[in-house]
Amino acid sequence: MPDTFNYFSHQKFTPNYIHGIDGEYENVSSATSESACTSVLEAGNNIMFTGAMGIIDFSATNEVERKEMTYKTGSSMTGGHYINGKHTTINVQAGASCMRMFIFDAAYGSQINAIGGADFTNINFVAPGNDGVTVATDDTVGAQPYTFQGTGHETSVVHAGEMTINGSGSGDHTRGDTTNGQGTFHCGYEHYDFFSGPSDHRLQNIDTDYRATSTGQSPDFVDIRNARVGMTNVAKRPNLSGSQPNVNPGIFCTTRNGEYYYLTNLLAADTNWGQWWAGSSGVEKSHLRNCTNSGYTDADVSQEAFESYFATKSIWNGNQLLEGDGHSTLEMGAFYQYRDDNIGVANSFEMLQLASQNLWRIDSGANDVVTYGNSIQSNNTSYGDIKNDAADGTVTGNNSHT
Amino acid sequence: MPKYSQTINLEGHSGIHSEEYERIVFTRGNYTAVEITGDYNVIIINAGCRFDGRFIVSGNYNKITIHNDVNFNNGILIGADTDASVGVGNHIKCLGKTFVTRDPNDYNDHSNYALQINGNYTHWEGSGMNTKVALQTASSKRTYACVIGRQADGDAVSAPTKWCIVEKTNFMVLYDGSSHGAGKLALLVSGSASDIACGHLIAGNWFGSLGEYDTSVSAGQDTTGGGGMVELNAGTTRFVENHIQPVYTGGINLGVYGKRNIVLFNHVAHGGSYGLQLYQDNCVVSGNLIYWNDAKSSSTSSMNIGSGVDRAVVAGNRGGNRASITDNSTNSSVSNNELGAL
Amino acid sequence: MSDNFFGNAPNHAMPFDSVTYNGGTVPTTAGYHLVKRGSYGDVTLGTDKCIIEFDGGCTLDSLRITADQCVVIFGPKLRIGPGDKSNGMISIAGDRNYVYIGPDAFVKDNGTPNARDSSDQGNGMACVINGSYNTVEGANWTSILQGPHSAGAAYNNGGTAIHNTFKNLRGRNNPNEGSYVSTSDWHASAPHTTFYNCLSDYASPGSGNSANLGGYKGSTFSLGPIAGTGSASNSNGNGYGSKVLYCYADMSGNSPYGSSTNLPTGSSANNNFGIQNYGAQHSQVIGTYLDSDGETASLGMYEPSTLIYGCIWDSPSNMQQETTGTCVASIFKDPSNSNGTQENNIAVGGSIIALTND
Repeated sequence: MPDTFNYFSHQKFTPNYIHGIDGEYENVSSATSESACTSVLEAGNNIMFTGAMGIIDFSATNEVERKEMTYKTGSSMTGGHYINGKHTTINVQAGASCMRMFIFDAAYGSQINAIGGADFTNINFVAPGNDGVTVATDDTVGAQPYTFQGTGHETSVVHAGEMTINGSGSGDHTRGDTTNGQGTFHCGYEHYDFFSGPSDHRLQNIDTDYRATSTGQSPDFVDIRNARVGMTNVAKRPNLSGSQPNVNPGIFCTTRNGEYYYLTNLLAADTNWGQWWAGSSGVEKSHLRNCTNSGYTDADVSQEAFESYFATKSIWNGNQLLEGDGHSTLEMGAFYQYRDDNIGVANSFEMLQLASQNLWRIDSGANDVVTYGNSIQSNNTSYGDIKNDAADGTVTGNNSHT
Repeated sequence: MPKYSQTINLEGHSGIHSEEYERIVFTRGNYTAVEITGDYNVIIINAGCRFDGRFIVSGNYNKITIHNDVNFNNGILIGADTDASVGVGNHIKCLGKTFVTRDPNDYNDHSNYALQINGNYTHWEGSGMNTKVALQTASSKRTYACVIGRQADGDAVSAPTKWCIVEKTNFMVLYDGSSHGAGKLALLVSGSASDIACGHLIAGNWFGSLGEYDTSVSAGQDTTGGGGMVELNAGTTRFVENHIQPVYTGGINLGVYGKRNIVLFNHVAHGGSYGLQLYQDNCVVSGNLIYWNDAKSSSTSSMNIGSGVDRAVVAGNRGGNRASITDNSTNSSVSNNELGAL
Repeated sequence: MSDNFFGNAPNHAMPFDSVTYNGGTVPTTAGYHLVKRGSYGDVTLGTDKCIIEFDGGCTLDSLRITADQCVVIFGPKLRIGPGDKSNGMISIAGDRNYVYIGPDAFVKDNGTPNARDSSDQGNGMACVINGSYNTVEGANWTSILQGPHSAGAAYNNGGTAIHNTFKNLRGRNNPNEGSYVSTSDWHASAPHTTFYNCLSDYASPGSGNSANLGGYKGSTFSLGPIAGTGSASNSNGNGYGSKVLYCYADMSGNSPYGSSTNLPTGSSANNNFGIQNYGAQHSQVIGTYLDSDGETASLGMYEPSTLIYGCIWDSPSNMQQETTGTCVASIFKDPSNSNGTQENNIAVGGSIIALTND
């Protein structure tokens, strides 16, 4: 065996040896049908897809773990893609159009990497119960997270149109297509999560070409970073009857009762929003950092937003909720420290139409929070001041001004 | 016309690659020891590769992309063992599931590392929690999942490694089931460099298995061996937005031992001894959550600030369960911390 | 042996739409392209969704992207310039583009910096972003941008640039060159410009005192106007909402760059600033470190609603902010006054302890 590899040599050391500049991908496939795509993926690894792919259940024939795919620039999704193989990695190049749902269903340890200005509309990370942390002495040890990372705000997870769902029993089942459907990240179920909405819109009843997803809880260990996200017109959200509230989409993420969420460097520019973070009050250990919302112009509907809830042991730092240079539309709440022991620091706010709700509230039952080093500009220091109903915790070093 | 590319798939291949300006692809397969000694290469490690020997990058300024499901079973060295000016400027980026570990049968008698980063300007970019650097304990051996600027003999590199970026990776030291070993850290940065501006950025990582508190530690869980989790011995380190959470550990979760360190927005949970210990001047520690499991007694401070500390800032943190922190500093601003039981 | 590299075997297939070798022309069509080591002159991408990977050792005269959703990934040892391009040596005028600069890169502009009232957008600047939602990312601090007016700037005199990011890059000015207006390693002169882990590796702009050769207001990070005689505005540069996150500025002789050039005395006495904010409301400076080695290196927030959090500023100059500013958990020499919210700062007439080797 030579110590130095001489690339001018044309010796073949093994049948797989090929010299040249190819080799990064085991296959480059223009397949578009479910059967063809899954066959290619099962036959090799690190596959590049180049075509206009329809609805694909990537586990239709054989749920195989640890696969990798790249959607090449110019490829597209004309239907949703469903993955339940663990540790599946999908790379998406700018110029690939993924304007349909991705559904990762108990595909623990799976990951999407966007390279540059790739286009997405709806990423769903779901799990039937939480997989927890594996105890092992091999490469299965530890947490099996869901991860989405773009390269920056050029990566887009936005809708291209507006929702048309109105009320239970009617509406649009082609969720996540280019004309309607929500954008952003959904990790949950029930009415807190716009992904499911009214019961007859839940995924398992939609579009029989889809495999029914597992119903259940939100996953733990979710890491989402580096993208611009956009939310539908909140006025079009389902108008549910009875005791269920209107659904308020979260521009960054919706989840139910997960833990260990990390949302980093997400931008919501010029977009309507219901909440930044539509996590139920029990979502502990959320880390929301360096996210920005700015530039919504409130053309047709009022910017009525619910506050985003901080749960226990969460850290929200370095975020900006701003009007955008020259604008003044933001009316309602922003942050709500709802549970104990969370930290809100180094955030900047500019909300210039406050009329009925405090920009920042600390719930009377939220013990021992830290609210420190935040900059707040508003139209009304009564609503702009931090409303500390707990009278507990460390709330200092903040500047609230008009 | 020069042929600037090669594709390597040599089962069991062991080799030194001294090429420059190449585009090198490691196709899927098993490799033994590999050393990249050349500079300026674009190197792609394909999905499914296994490196059963050590992977060494001693060349400079290479860009290395690691695809999904790649295991480095006998460690990675970026640079040289004793010289930070060797193997500089490399950028290693992981795309998916990556596992870096060492074979305990190959441990030396002193200090063992899964990921050894010695070259200046190294950028180690994991893919997120899917990138795991994990080392098992062994009786009478020291085990450190990741080191920056350390030698195999256990000493620090004397002209310390500088200006590295380590991000988006999960580092762990795991109990092997029979011995907690002779000491461990999930990350050890430099030594005897507290006065030297090394300028590292350590951001967005996880240290520990992230499991829930458990004193009945079993094989595959965070070891309770002595040492701690993270130790920063270099000046001007920015340690931000990390999450330290072993199920239980011996020692201190975060040791801040370099001057002018900036320690912000970290989540530091569980542990054996102090959550954070600060022993150097002019550090800023703020916006951190530092606590134990609920069962931990309230007798130990979440933060211990040593008597030699001058002109430091420790503020805007949530620490518990004890209602006070140990502060022996001078001329410092230690206040506005929310303390007490969680 | 055949030179046919375009294998289409079922295994190890060719992913690229083209491969270009030294002497060829870089493709600019939509698709995924590979460019091998070589020299390629000026490269302009005017078609959307053009993805190019350059191998190590490429030399360009310039890169200009006027399209959207392009990706340019430079391998190691990129060289662009020294040269003089009015739009910048790397110029991004479109939207949603991503440029990655590999290790040991050097992009240098040696043109004449903008005059004070000039509306040109790129003179004397290594990398200029005029569009929106773009990211320029380096491998590490061996990815170097250098220009006499700016290393990296987000700026658009039509006021439409917004949401651009520079990340993991080193920037420096040219010693003894500079703009009378606003020399700085980094410029946030468009709203929502973010610098993440950028190194300002300072070089003094020198002793001249003319409109486009002067030492006035040399700084590390400048938030606000890049040109023009007026206050911050879209045409002059407006850094609304900009961020300096976990950055590093080293003006000392032991910086990675080497010795700084001390600024001589003269009428242009306002020199060697640290971070200057003359036009960036709601900006944030978080977790950032500066070592001035005795230079002036002030930390001046002259706009409303600014935030300084968790910074260390080894400088003989004071921190300055407005009554609506917030500065907490930081270390600097002294505050200029009691303006704004100040909490937990080590800043009571003292100096921080010198590092032995910084």
